Amino acid sequence: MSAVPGEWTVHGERSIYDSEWMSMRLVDVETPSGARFEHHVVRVPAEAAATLVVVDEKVLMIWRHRFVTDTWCWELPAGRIDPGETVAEAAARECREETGWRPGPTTPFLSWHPANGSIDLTFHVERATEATHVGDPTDLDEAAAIEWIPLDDIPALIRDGEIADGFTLTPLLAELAGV
Amino acid sequence: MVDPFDPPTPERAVWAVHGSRSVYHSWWCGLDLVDVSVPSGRRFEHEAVRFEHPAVGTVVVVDDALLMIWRHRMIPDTWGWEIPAGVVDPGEDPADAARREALEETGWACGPVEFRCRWHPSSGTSDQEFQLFAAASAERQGDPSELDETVEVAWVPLDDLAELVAAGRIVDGLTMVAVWNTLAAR
Repeated sequence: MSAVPGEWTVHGERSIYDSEWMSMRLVDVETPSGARFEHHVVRVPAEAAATLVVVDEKVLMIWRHRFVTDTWCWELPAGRIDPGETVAEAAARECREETGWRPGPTTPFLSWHPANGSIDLTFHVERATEATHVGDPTDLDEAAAIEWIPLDDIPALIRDGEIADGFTLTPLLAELAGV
Repeated sequence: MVDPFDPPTPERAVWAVHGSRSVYHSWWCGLDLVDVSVPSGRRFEHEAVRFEHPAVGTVVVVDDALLMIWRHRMIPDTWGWEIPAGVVDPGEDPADAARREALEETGWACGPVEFRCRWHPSSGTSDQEFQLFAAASAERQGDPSELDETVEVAWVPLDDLAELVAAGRIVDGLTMVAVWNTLAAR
C-alpha cells in the first residue's frame, strides 16, 4: 500500500530517451490498490509561457502550423522560459518575437499542467491590456498571420476547430468566463 | 486583415516533414524523431510524442454543481479536484468512454452526453488529443470501482470553481477547460 493514503508511490525511474528538450521515462509506481507497474512519463524540463493580450475586446493571436499534429490553429504567442528568465519576461519576449507587439505590464493569469497523466510540463499565461507595435516579428518560423481577433468570434473558432491547442484554449475560455 | 475563419495556409509557412524514425513504441505511447525544416530554412530533428488513443473528460452538471473527484497525480506530485477522465479504449466510442469513466471514478451513471470541444493539450510536443463531453443528469449506482484514482467524490458548486482555481486546488488542463467552458456557457 502507498505511504500516504491515495498517493501513488514512486519506487524508481529508468530512462528510455533523454535530450536537452525532453526525456521519456518508465516510472516504477505502486498505486493505492496495491498494483505495481511501470508507467510512461514524458518529462519536459523547461516550463513555457504565453501572453494573453486583450485590447478593445480583441485578442492578439498568431495563425500557425504545428507539424507534430499537422494542424493549423490560432494560438497565443508562447514559448519556452529560458534559464534565468522570469515567467513575465519570457511571455513578453515571445510575444515581441512572434507578433512584433510588445505587451504592456502583464499580470499572472493562469498556471496549469496540460496533461498531468502523461507529460510532466507546466504552462503559464500572463495577461496584458495594452500593447505597442514595435516592428515586424523576428521569429519567422511561427506566425503565418498575426491578427487581433474579436472575443465575440472565439466561441465559433473553437467550435470550428480553428482554436484547438490547449495553451490557447484554456486561457481564452477563462477570459470568456469573465474570471 | 485576415478572415479568422478562413486564414491562408501557405506552403512556405508549413514545417515540412522529410522523414521520421521511431525511438520507442508501446501500446500506450511512442516517441519519434522527425526530420523537419522550418520556414526560415533550418533543418533539424525534433521530438514528437505519439499517443495511440484520445482521452475524454466528462462534465456532469446537475443543480448548478459539477461532479468532481479529489485525487493525487504522480507525475507532478500534486493533489487536485478533477473531472472524471480517461483514455478511450480501442474500438470504443468516445462518448461511451466518457460515460464509463464517470461511472468508474465517481459511482454516478450520467445521462446522455453531448460533445463540447476537442484540443491538443501540448501541440508543440505531442499529438495527444483531449475531448470533452457534457451530461445534465446522473444517477448514483454505488461507490467508485476505480480505487487508484478517486479519493473523494463531490458535487462542487459552480460558484466555487473560480475560487478553487485561484486557490491552486484545480491544477490540470483538462479540468480547467471543463470549468471555463461550463462557466463561459452559463
